[in-house]
Amino acid sequence: MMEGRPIKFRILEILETEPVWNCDLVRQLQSEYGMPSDYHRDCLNFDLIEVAASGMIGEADAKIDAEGKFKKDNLLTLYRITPIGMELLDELKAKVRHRKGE
Amino acid sequence: MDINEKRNEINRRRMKYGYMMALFCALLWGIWYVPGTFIWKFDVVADFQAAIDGQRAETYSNKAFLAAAILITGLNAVFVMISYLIWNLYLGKAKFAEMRRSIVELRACTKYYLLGAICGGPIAILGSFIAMGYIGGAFAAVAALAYPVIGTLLSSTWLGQKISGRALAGIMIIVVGSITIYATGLIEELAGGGSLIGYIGGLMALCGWGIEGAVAAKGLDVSEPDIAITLRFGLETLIWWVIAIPALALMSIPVYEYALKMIADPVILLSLVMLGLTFGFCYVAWYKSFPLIGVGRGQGIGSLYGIFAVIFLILFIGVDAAIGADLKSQASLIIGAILCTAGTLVMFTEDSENVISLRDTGEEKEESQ
Repeated sequence: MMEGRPIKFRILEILETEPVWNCDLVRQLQSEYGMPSDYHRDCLNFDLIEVAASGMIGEADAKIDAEGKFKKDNLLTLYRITPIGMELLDELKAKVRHRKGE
Repeated sequence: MDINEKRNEINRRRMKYGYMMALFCALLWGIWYVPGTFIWKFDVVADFQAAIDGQRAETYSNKAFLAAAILITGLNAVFVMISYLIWNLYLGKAKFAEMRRSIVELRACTKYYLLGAICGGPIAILGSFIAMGYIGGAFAAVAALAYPVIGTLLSSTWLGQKISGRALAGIMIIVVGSITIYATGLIEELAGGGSLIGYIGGLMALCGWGIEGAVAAKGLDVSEPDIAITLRFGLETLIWWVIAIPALALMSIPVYEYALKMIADPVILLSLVMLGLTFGFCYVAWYKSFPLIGVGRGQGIGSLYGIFAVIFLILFIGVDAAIGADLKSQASLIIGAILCTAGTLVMFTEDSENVISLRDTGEEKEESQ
Protein backbone atom coordinates (compact mmCIF):
# COMPACT_ATOMS: atom_id res chain seq x y z
CA MET A 1 0.00 0.00 0.00
CA MET A 2 2.85 2.40 0.79
CA GLU A 3 4.96 1.65 -2.29
CA GLY A 4 5.64 4.85 -4.20
CA ARG A 5 4.61 6.96 -1.22
CA PRO A 6 6.97 9.00 1.03
CA ILE A 7 9.99 6.94 2.13
CA LYS A 8 9.25 7.01 5.87
CA PHE A 9 5.71 5.66 5.21
CA ARG A 10 7.27 2.74 3.37
CA ILE A 11 9.89 2.07 6.05
CA LEU A 12 7.13 1.50 8.60
CA GLU A 13 5.23 -0.78 6.22
CA ILE A 14 8.25 -2.93 5.36
CA LEU A 15 8.86 -3.50 9.08
CA GLU A 16 5.18 -4.17 9.84
CA THR A 17 5.43 -7.94 9.46
CA GLU A 18 8.97 -8.80 10.55
CA PRO A 19 12.28 -7.23 11.61
CA VAL A 20 14.71 -6.41 8.78
CA TRP A 21 18.44 -5.65 8.84
CA ASN A 22 19.26 -2.07 7.88
CA CYS A 23 21.47 -3.19 4.96
CA ASP A 24 18.59 -5.18 3.40
CA LEU A 25 16.05 -2.45 4.14
CA VAL A 26 18.21 0.22 2.53
CA ARG A 27 18.85 -1.98 -0.53
CA GLN A 28 15.12 -2.61 -0.94
CA LEU A 29 14.39 1.12 -0.69
CA GLN A 30 17.21 1.95 -3.15
CA SER A 31 15.67 -0.42 -5.65
CA GLU A 32 12.04 0.68 -5.13
CA TYR A 33 12.75 4.42 -5.21
CA GLY A 34 15.40 4.41 -7.95
CA MET A 35 18.16 5.69 -5.67
CA PRO A 36 21.19 3.57 -6.64
CA SER A 37 24.25 5.60 -5.57
CA ASP A 38 26.24 5.39 -2.32
CA TYR A 39 25.05 8.93 -1.53
CA HIS A 40 21.44 7.75 -1.79
CA ARG A 41 22.30 4.69 0.35
CA ASP A 42 23.62 6.96 3.10
CA CYS A 43 20.58 9.28 2.81
CA LEU A 44 18.24 6.31 3.23
CA ASN A 45 20.24 4.97 6.17
CA PHE A 46 19.97 8.42 7.74
CA ASP A 47 16.18 8.25 7.28
CA LEU A 48 16.27 5.00 9.28
CA ILE A 49 18.29 6.69 12.03
CA GLU A 50 15.72 9.52 12.18
CA VAL A 51 12.76 7.11 12.33
CA ALA A 52 14.53 5.10 15.05
CA ALA A 53 15.28 8.27 17.05
CA SER A 54 11.59 9.23 16.84
CA GLY A 55 10.77 5.89 18.54
CA MET A 56 8.70 4.50 15.65
CA ILE A 57 11.20 1.69 15.03
CA GLY A 58 13.73 0.16 17.39
CA GLU A 59 16.68 -2.18 17.50
CA ALA A 60 15.90 -5.91 17.72
CA ASP A 61 19.50 -7.01 17.26
CA ALA A 62 22.86 -5.69 16.16
CA LYS A 63 26.18 -7.03 14.90
CA ILE A 64 29.45 -5.74 13.55
CA ASP A 65 29.63 -5.77 9.75
CA ALA A 66 32.79 -7.88 9.58
CA GLU A 67 32.20 -8.97 5.96
CA GLY A 68 31.55 -5.46 4.63
CA LYS A 69 27.94 -6.25 3.58
CA PHE A 70 26.99 -2.61 4.13
CA LYS A 71 29.91 -0.68 5.62
CA LYS A 72 32.84 -2.72 6.85
CA ASP A 73 33.39 -2.69 10.64
CA ASN A 74 30.31 -0.55 11.21
CA LEU A 75 27.22 -1.61 13.11
CA LEU A 76 24.47 -3.52 11.30
CA THR A 77 21.10 -3.05 12.98
CA LEU A 78 18.09 -5.33 12.85
CA TYR A 79 15.12 -2.96 13.00
CA ARG A 80 11.61 -3.81 14.12
CA ILE A 81 8.53 -1.64 14.36
CA THR A 82 7.49 -0.45 17.86
CA PRO A 83 3.90 -0.22 19.21
CA ILE A 84 3.80 3.55 18.59
CA GLY A 85 5.19 2.91 15.09
CA MET A 86 2.31 0.48 14.48
CA GLU A 87 -0.16 3.13 15.67
CA LEU A 88 1.37 5.64 13.27
CA LEU A 89 1.29 3.16 10.38
CA ASP A 90 -2.41 2.44 11.01
CA GLU A 91 -3.06 6.20 11.11
CA LEU A 92 -1.19 6.66 7.82
CA LYS A 93 -3.08 3.82 6.16
CA ALA A 94 -6.34 5.54 7.06
CA LYS A 95 -5.16 8.92 5.83
CA VAL A 96 -3.19 8.29 2.62
CA ARG A 97 -4.63 9.40 -0.70
CA HIS A 98 -6.44 6.51 -2.29
CA ARG A 99 -5.12 5.24 -5.59
CA LYS A 100 -7.02 3.31 -8.20
CA GLY A 101 -7.44 -0.30 -7.16
CA GLU A 102 -6.89 0.34 -3.42
CA MET B 1 35.30 -1.93 19.53
CA ASP B 2 32.37 -4.06 20.73
CA ILE B 3 28.73 -3.72 19.74
CA ASN B 4 27.76 -1.61 22.76
CA GLU B 5 30.57 0.85 22.12
CA LYS B 6 29.59 1.08 18.43
CA ARG B 7 25.95 1.63 19.35
CA ASN B 8 26.88 4.36 21.82
CA GLU B 9 29.16 5.99 19.27
CA ILE B 10 26.35 6.11 16.66
CA ASN B 11 24.01 7.57 19.27
CA ARG B 12 26.58 10.17 20.37
CA ARG B 13 27.16 11.15 16.72
CA ARG B 14 23.41 11.54 16.15
CA MET B 15 23.05 13.80 19.19
CA LYS B 16 26.14 15.79 18.24
CA TYR B 17 24.88 16.27 14.68
CA GLY B 18 21.47 17.34 16.03
CA TYR B 19 23.03 19.86 18.41
CA MET B 20 25.32 21.16 15.65
CA MET B 21 22.28 21.71 13.43
CA ALA B 22 20.47 23.60 16.22
CA LEU B 23 23.56 25.72 16.86
CA PHE B 24 23.95 26.38 13.13
CA CYS B 25 20.29 27.49 13.12
CA ALA B 26 20.93 29.93 15.99
CA LEU B 27 24.04 31.31 14.27
CA LEU B 28 22.28 31.90 10.93
CA TRP B 29 19.21 33.33 12.66
CA GLY B 30 21.51 35.76 14.48
CA ILE B 31 23.23 36.75 11.21
CA TRP B 32 19.78 37.25 9.64
CA TYR B 33 19.25 40.19 12.01
CA VAL B 34 21.97 42.16 10.19
CA PRO B 35 20.19 42.37 6.79
CA GLY B 36 16.90 42.15 8.74
CA THR B 37 17.79 45.41 10.51
CA PHE B 38 19.34 47.14 7.49
CA ILE B 39 16.36 46.48 5.20
CA TRP B 40 14.27 48.89 7.33
CA LYS B 41 16.81 51.68 6.76
CA PHE B 42 16.36 51.88 2.98
CA ASP B 43 14.55 54.95 1.62
CA VAL B 44 12.12 52.78 -0.38
CA VAL B 45 10.72 51.31 2.87
CA ALA B 46 10.30 54.80 4.34
CA ASP B 47 8.73 55.98 1.06
CA PHE B 48 6.28 53.06 1.20
CA GLN B 49 5.20 53.97 4.73
CA ALA B 50 5.00 57.66 3.78
CA ALA B 51 2.78 56.74 0.80
CA ILE B 52 0.38 55.01 3.22
CA ASP B 53 0.39 57.82 5.80
CA GLY B 54 0.33 60.57 3.18
CA GLN B 55 3.47 62.31 4.45
CA ARG B 56 7.11 61.82 5.39
CA ALA B 57 7.73 61.61 9.15
CA GLU B 58 10.21 60.44 11.76
CA THR B 59 7.89 57.60 12.73
CA TYR B 60 4.89 56.18 10.90
CA SER B 61 1.47 54.87 11.93
CA ASN B 62 1.08 51.27 13.06
CA LYS B 63 -0.89 50.57 9.86
CA ALA B 64 2.05 51.74 7.72
CA PHE B 65 4.52 49.83 9.92
CA LEU B 66 2.54 46.58 9.68
CA ALA B 67 2.09 46.96 5.90
CA ALA B 68 5.87 47.42 5.51
CA ALA B 69 6.43 44.39 7.78
CA ILE B 70 4.12 42.27 5.61
CA LEU B 71 5.86 43.43 2.42
CA ILE B 72 9.35 42.68 3.80
CA THR B 73 8.24 39.32 5.24
CA GLY B 74 6.56 38.39 1.95
CA LEU B 75 9.72 39.22 0.01
CA ASN B 76 11.79 37.36 2.63
CA ALA B 77 9.63 34.26 2.04
CA VAL B 78 10.12 34.47 -1.75
CA PHE B 79 13.92 34.64 -1.38
CA VAL B 80 13.88 31.78 1.14
CA MET B 81 12.01 29.70 -1.44
CA ILE B 82 14.59 30.57 -4.11
CA SER B 83 17.32 29.37 -1.69
CA TYR B 84 15.40 26.10 -1.18
CA LEU B 85 14.99 25.46 -4.89
CA ILE B 86 18.75 25.83 -5.34
CA TRP B 87 19.36 23.67 -2.24
CA ASN B 88 17.08 20.88 -3.47
CA LEU B 89 18.66 21.04 -6.94
CA TYR B 90 22.01 20.53 -5.23
CA LEU B 91 20.64 17.57 -3.25
CA GLY B 92 19.53 15.91 -6.48
CA LYS B 93 16.39 14.90 -8.35
CA ALA B 94 15.54 12.22 -5.77
CA LYS B 95 14.54 15.06 -3.40
CA PHE B 96 12.12 16.50 -5.94
CA ALA B 97 10.59 13.04 -6.41
CA GLU B 98 10.16 12.70 -2.62
CA MET B 99 8.67 16.20 -2.52
CA ARG B 100 6.10 15.19 -5.15
CA ARG B 101 5.24 12.03 -3.18
CA SER B 102 4.89 14.02 0.06
CA ILE B 103 2.93 17.04 -1.18
CA VAL B 104 0.01 14.92 -2.43
CA GLU B 105 -0.41 13.26 0.98
CA LEU B 106 -2.37 16.18 2.36
CA ARG B 107 -4.03 14.43 5.33
CA ALA B 108 -1.08 12.23 6.23
CA CYS B 109 1.72 14.74 5.83
CA THR B 110 1.27 18.17 4.19
CA LYS B 111 -1.37 19.40 6.65
CA TYR B 112 1.30 19.61 9.37
CA TYR B 113 3.34 21.97 7.23
CA LEU B 114 0.31 24.09 6.40
CA LEU B 115 -0.30 24.44 10.13
CA GLY B 116 3.42 25.11 10.66
CA ALA B 117 3.35 27.77 7.94
CA ILE B 118 0.34 29.50 9.54
CA CYS B 119 1.81 29.36 13.07
CA GLY B 120 5.40 30.29 12.16
CA GLY B 121 4.44 32.72 9.39
CA PRO B 122 1.50 35.08 9.81
CA ILE B 123 0.87 34.33 13.51
CA ALA B 124 4.45 34.43 14.87
CA ILE B 125 6.04 36.95 12.49
CA LEU B 126 3.07 39.31 12.45
CA GLY B 127 2.71 38.93 16.23
CA SER B 128 6.37 39.78 16.63
CA PHE B 129 5.97 42.93 14.52
CA ILE B 130 2.77 43.91 16.39
CA ALA B 131 4.66 43.54 19.69
CA MET B 132 7.49 45.62 18.26
CA GLY B 133 5.18 48.32 16.93
CA TYR B 134 2.85 48.63 19.95
CA ILE B 135 5.32 48.03 22.81
CA GLY B 136 8.92 47.85 21.59
CA GLY B 137 11.76 45.82 20.13
CA ALA B 138 12.99 44.40 23.45
CA PHE B 139 9.52 43.12 24.39
CA ALA B 140 9.12 41.54 20.95
CA ALA B 141 12.53 39.85 21.27
CA VAL B 142 11.76 38.51 24.76
CA ALA B 143 8.35 37.16 23.69
CA ALA B 144 9.93 35.35 20.74
CA LEU B 145 12.87 34.05 22.75
CA ALA B 146 10.59 32.34 25.27
CA TYR B 147 9.10 30.08 22.55
CA PRO B 148 11.03 26.93 23.62
CA VAL B 149 8.85 26.87 26.76
CA ILE B 150 5.75 26.29 24.61
CA GLY B 151 7.61 23.97 22.21
CA THR B 152 8.94 21.81 25.05
CA LEU B 153 5.57 21.67 26.78
CA LEU B 154 3.76 20.61 23.59
CA SER B 155 6.39 18.12 22.43
CA SER B 156 6.25 16.49 25.82
CA THR B 157 2.45 16.40 26.28
CA TRP B 158 1.20 16.06 22.68
CA LEU B 159 4.05 14.20 20.96
CA GLY B 160 5.15 12.23 24.03
CA GLN B 161 8.80 13.23 23.57
CA LYS B 162 10.91 12.51 26.63
CA ILE B 163 12.84 15.39 28.12
CA SER B 164 15.41 14.78 30.83
CA GLY B 165 15.76 17.04 33.87
CA ARG B 166 19.18 18.07 32.61
CA ALA B 167 17.92 19.05 29.14
CA LEU B 168 15.00 20.94 30.71
CA ALA B 169 17.38 22.80 33.03
CA GLY B 170 19.60 23.70 30.05
CA ILE B 171 16.63 25.00 28.02
CA MET B 172 15.40 27.13 30.92
CA ILE B 173 18.86 28.59 31.62
CA ILE B 174 19.21 29.56 27.92
CA VAL B 175 15.72 31.12 27.85
CA VAL B 176 16.39 33.13 31.03
CA GLY B 177 19.82 34.13 29.67
CA SER B 178 18.36 35.25 26.33
CA ILE B 179 15.66 37.28 28.10
CA THR B 180 18.27 38.84 30.42
CA ILE B 181 20.04 40.32 27.36
CA TYR B 182 16.95 42.45 26.68
CA ALA B 183 16.01 43.02 30.34
CA THR B 184 16.90 46.73 30.51
CA GLY B 185 14.96 47.57 27.34
CA LEU B 186 12.07 45.39 28.47
CA ILE B 187 11.75 47.15 31.84
CA GLU B 188 11.79 50.58 30.13
CA GLU B 189 9.17 49.54 27.57
CA LEU B 190 6.84 48.00 30.14
CA ALA B 191 7.24 51.07 32.39
CA GLY B 192 5.75 53.01 29.47
CA GLY B 193 2.42 51.30 30.20
CA GLY B 194 2.45 48.61 27.49
CA SER B 195 -0.55 47.95 25.29
CA LEU B 196 -3.09 45.11 25.13
CA ILE B 197 -2.62 44.72 21.35
CA GLY B 198 1.13 44.61 21.92
CA TYR B 199 0.77 41.86 24.54
CA ILE B 200 -1.46 39.87 22.17
CA GLY B 201 1.25 40.27 19.52
CA GLY B 202 3.84 38.96 21.98
CA LEU B 203 1.63 35.98 22.79
CA MET B 204 1.21 35.29 19.05
CA ALA B 205 5.01 35.20 18.61
CA LEU B 206 5.52 33.04 21.70
CA CYS B 207 2.85 30.49 20.78
CA GLY B 208 3.35 30.68 16.99
CA TRP B 209 6.95 29.48 16.92
CA GLY B 210 6.44 27.12 19.89
CA ILE B 211 3.48 25.39 18.22
CA GLU B 212 5.25 25.32 14.85
CA GLY B 213 8.10 23.26 16.33
CA ALA B 214 5.75 20.65 17.77
CA VAL B 215 3.61 20.47 14.62
CA ALA B 216 6.72 20.22 12.43
CA ALA B 217 8.10 17.39 14.58
CA LYS B 218 4.84 15.49 14.06
CA GLY B 219 5.23 15.93 10.30
CA LEU B 220 8.91 15.00 10.47
CA ASP B 221 7.93 11.56 11.83
CA VAL B 222 6.78 10.81 8.29
CA SER B 223 8.88 13.03 6.02
CA GLU B 224 12.44 14.22 5.46
CA PRO B 225 13.51 17.62 6.88
CA ASP B 226 14.59 19.06 3.48
CA ILE B 227 11.19 18.22 2.02
CA ALA B 228 9.33 19.37 5.12
CA ILE B 229 10.88 22.81 5.20
CA THR B 230 10.42 23.38 1.46
CA LEU B 231 6.72 22.52 1.75
CA ARG B 232 6.33 24.66 4.87
CA PHE B 233 7.93 27.74 3.27
CA GLY B 234 6.17 27.17 -0.06
CA LEU B 235 2.87 27.32 1.83
CA GLU B 236 3.96 30.39 3.82
CA THR B 237 4.94 32.16 0.58
CA LEU B 238 1.46 31.42 -0.77
CA ILE B 239 -0.16 32.79 2.40
CA TRP B 240 1.71 36.10 2.00
CA TRP B 241 1.32 36.48 -1.78
CA VAL B 242 -2.17 35.03 -2.26
CA ILE B 243 -3.86 36.38 0.89
CA ALA B 244 -1.96 39.05 2.85
CA ILE B 245 -0.36 41.14 0.10
CA PRO B 246 -3.44 41.17 -2.18
CA ALA B 247 -5.42 42.22 0.93
CA LEU B 248 -3.09 45.23 1.29
CA ALA B 249 -3.57 46.01 -2.42
CA LEU B 250 -7.35 45.89 -1.92
CA MET B 251 -6.90 48.55 0.78
CA SER B 252 -5.35 50.76 -1.96
CA ILE B 253 -1.85 50.34 -0.52
CA PRO B 254 0.70 50.44 -3.41
CA VAL B 255 2.31 47.19 -2.28
CA TYR B 256 3.14 45.72 -5.72
CA GLU B 257 4.70 48.99 -6.92
CA TYR B 258 7.04 49.08 -3.90
CA ALA B 259 7.80 45.35 -4.10
CA LEU B 260 9.06 45.93 -7.65
CA LYS B 261 10.99 49.02 -6.56
CA MET B 262 12.74 47.00 -3.86
CA ILE B 263 13.68 44.16 -6.21
CA ALA B 264 14.86 46.62 -8.89
CA ASP B 265 17.36 48.24 -6.52
CA PRO B 266 20.62 46.18 -6.62
CA VAL B 267 21.59 46.92 -2.99
CA ILE B 268 18.15 46.03 -1.64
CA LEU B 269 18.13 42.96 -3.88
CA LEU B 270 21.44 41.87 -2.37
CA SER B 271 19.97 42.39 1.12
CA LEU B 272 16.97 40.27 0.17
CA VAL B 273 19.28 37.52 -1.10
CA MET B 274 21.13 37.65 2.24
CA LEU B 275 17.80 37.50 4.10
CA GLY B 276 16.70 34.50 2.02
CA LEU B 277 19.96 32.60 2.47
CA THR B 278 20.33 33.15 6.22
CA PHE B 279 16.66 32.64 7.14
CA GLY B 280 16.31 29.75 4.69
CA PHE B 281 19.24 27.75 5.96
CA CYS B 282 18.56 28.59 9.59
CA TYR B 283 15.16 26.93 9.12
CA VAL B 284 16.72 23.92 7.30
CA ALA B 285 19.05 23.41 10.27
CA TRP B 286 16.19 23.93 12.77
CA TYR B 287 14.05 21.24 11.08
CA LYS B 288 17.03 18.88 10.77
CA SER B 289 17.67 19.09 14.51
CA PHE B 290 14.13 18.09 15.62
CA PRO B 291 14.15 14.39 14.56
CA LEU B 292 17.63 13.92 16.06
CA ILE B 293 17.45 15.66 19.45
CA GLY B 294 13.75 16.50 19.88
CA VAL B 295 11.81 19.74 19.76
CA GLY B 296 12.72 20.99 23.26
CA ARG B 297 16.49 20.67 22.81
CA GLY B 298 16.36 21.95 19.20
CA GLN B 299 14.36 25.02 20.21
CA GLY B 300 16.42 25.60 23.36
CA ILE B 301 19.69 25.77 21.43
CA GLY B 302 17.88 27.58 18.59
CA SER B 303 16.98 30.41 20.94
CA LEU B 304 20.67 31.22 21.27
CA TYR B 305 19.91 33.36 18.21
CA GLY B 306 19.16 36.13 20.73
CA ILE B 307 22.80 36.37 21.79
CA PHE B 308 24.14 35.77 18.25
CA ALA B 309 21.92 38.56 16.87
CA VAL B 310 23.34 41.01 19.41
CA ILE B 311 26.93 39.89 18.70
CA PHE B 312 26.53 40.30 14.92
CA LEU B 313 24.76 43.64 15.28
CA ILE B 314 27.59 44.85 17.54
CA LEU B 315 30.11 43.78 14.86
CA PHE B 316 28.25 45.60 12.09
CA ILE B 317 26.78 48.70 13.76
CA GLY B 318 28.74 49.05 17.01
CA VAL B 319 27.95 48.47 20.69
CA ASP B 320 26.06 51.72 21.29
CA ALA B 321 23.70 51.31 18.33
CA ALA B 322 23.15 47.61 18.95
CA ILE B 323 22.48 47.52 22.71
CA GLY B 324 22.78 51.10 23.99
CA ALA B 325 25.60 53.05 25.59
CA ASP B 326 24.43 52.63 29.21
CA LEU B 327 26.22 50.34 31.63
CA LYS B 328 23.03 48.48 32.63
CA SER B 329 22.37 47.24 29.06
CA GLN B 330 25.96 46.15 28.62
CA ALA B 331 25.97 44.37 32.00
CA SER B 332 22.74 42.52 31.15
CA LEU B 333 24.30 41.44 27.84
CA ILE B 334 27.29 39.94 29.67
CA ILE B 335 25.13 38.19 32.31
CA GLY B 336 22.83 36.90 29.55
CA ALA B 337 25.78 35.61 27.54
CA ILE B 338 27.19 33.77 30.59
CA LEU B 339 23.79 32.15 31.26
CA CYS B 340 23.38 31.15 27.58
CA THR B 341 26.83 29.55 27.56
CA ALA B 342 26.12 27.73 30.83
CA GLY B 343 22.76 26.43 29.54
CA THR B 344 24.37 25.23 26.31
CA LEU B 345 27.08 23.35 28.24
CA VAL B 346 24.46 21.75 30.50
CA MET B 347 22.68 20.42 27.40
CA PHE B 348 25.76 19.40 25.42
CA THR B 349 27.07 17.31 28.32
CA GLU B 350 23.83 15.32 28.68
CA ASP B 351 24.51 11.58 28.50
CA SER B 352 23.41 10.45 25.00
CA GLU B 353 22.75 6.89 26.25
CA ASN B 354 19.57 8.22 27.88
CA VAL B 355 18.30 9.54 24.54
CA ILE B 356 18.40 6.46 22.29
CA SER B 357 14.75 7.13 21.47
CA LEU B 358 13.09 10.53 21.85
CA ARG B 359 9.80 8.89 22.91
CA ASP B 360 8.56 6.04 25.04
CA THR B 361 7.99 3.49 22.30
CA GLY B 362 5.21 1.61 24.06
CA GLU B 363 7.37 -1.53 24.42
CA GLU B 364 7.92 -0.87 28.10
CA LYS B 365 4.16 -1.23 28.66
CA GLU B 366 3.98 -4.43 26.58
CA GLU B 367 6.87 -5.97 28.50
CA SER B 368 5.29 -5.22 31.87
CA GLN B 369 1.97 -6.81 30.89
